[in-house]
Amino acid sequence: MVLMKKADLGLSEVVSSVLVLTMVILAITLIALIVLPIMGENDERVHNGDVLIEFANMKADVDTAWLSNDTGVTRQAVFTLSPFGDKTEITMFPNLFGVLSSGTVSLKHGAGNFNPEGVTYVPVIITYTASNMYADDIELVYSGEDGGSLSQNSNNILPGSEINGEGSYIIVVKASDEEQSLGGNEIITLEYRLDTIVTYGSDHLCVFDMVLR
Amino acid sequence: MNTRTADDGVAEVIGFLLIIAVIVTFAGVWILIYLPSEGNMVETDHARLVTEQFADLKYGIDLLWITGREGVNSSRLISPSPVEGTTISGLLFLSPPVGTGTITVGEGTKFKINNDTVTALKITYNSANYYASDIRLVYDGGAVFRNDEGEAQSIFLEPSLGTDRFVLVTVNNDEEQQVLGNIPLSVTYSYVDTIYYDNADVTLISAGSDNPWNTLLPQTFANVTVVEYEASIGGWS
Repeated sequence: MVLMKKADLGLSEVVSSVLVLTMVILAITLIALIVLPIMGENDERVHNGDVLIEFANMKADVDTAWLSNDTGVTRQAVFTLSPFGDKTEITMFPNLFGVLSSGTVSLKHGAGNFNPEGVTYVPVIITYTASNMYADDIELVYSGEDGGSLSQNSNNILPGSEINGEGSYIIVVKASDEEQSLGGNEIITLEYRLDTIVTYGSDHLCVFDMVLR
Repeated sequence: MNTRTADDGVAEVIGFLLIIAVIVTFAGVWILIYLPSEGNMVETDHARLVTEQFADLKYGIDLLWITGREGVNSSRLISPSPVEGTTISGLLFLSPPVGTGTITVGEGTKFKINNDTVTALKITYNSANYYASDIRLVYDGGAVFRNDEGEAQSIFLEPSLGTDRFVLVTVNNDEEQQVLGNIPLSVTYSYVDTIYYDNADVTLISAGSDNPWNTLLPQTFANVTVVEYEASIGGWS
């Protein structure tokens, strides 16, 4: 017996539409679940490295100010708080969710204080704390207590300055200066100026005026 | 009259094969063109970054003797590899390789100043790139040399050398230190001592013909200042 059933002419279009829709949904799912997180992690890892370099440059410039006894001259250091704070690169897949990552820079007072000539000074601690969505968070700490050392997640990267192991150059601010903390995903600047260098026992206090903007 | 009818399954098979072909072509272009192109860009950018860091290192070393900070140590960051700072976005190919680098601190070119022999402080960076041409940067006695793969070494930053005065940065320890890595490293240096010479003849001792110092010396200077440094490389501790 011959089967005389004929194909439905409309079926092909319906199947094609369903297949195309399936592929579109699959593509969107792949981008959302795989591509965006990978791009986001890449961007944030790159940004972690960029902020480390920004902190290293800041340390070098602060060192330059006191090494050359350059008092009264205001300088700036720039910190990018998130991968999208200074985005100049066109990427193949724009990372729509990456803008949610952010960072915070704080200007704090360290432990201990110094009282030469009746003025109280405290060591300065500048930190950057990342709040990443994909990559590991990092914490960078510039410590004036150790002669201007730089560490990342408690790993010492750049040592501070010493004088033949007999004393240090301690980076300090006035105890009356306010502590500050600025967060977000933009760019902020640290403005600093060397006021004076004061001898304190075997150490030298490099007195800075610092403010975050 | 042709009575053969089309096989209903052929269109689907051809369609499936075409889709596979498109996917394979896309992956091929991705692996063979996009990744090497982006890798080349990342490693070239990194070469620029390390070159800037060497220029900054020279400035930092000079700053200590210019300001007379004897006994003071300072440090600078060097990134031997783009791994931490710039990542190739490989998407599904999660971790395509990128280059590494080696940093060496030790003794460089030997000089004869009148009857004394001094050895230049030498800090070297050698890249080991996957995509871009390798570069070599050398800080040697106050000068910075650079050479790209297959090219001769040339002077990138001049030493502190004028018509009548010459300042040479030297080192007095024969211990060479070498670190191969892909995380940022520190180069720490301290200014130890200074020796002055008047009316001094400066010549090179057994320097190879490709040493760029050959284009600057021998010469006689009214004043020669030899500044002695100690230097070391540090990782994360």
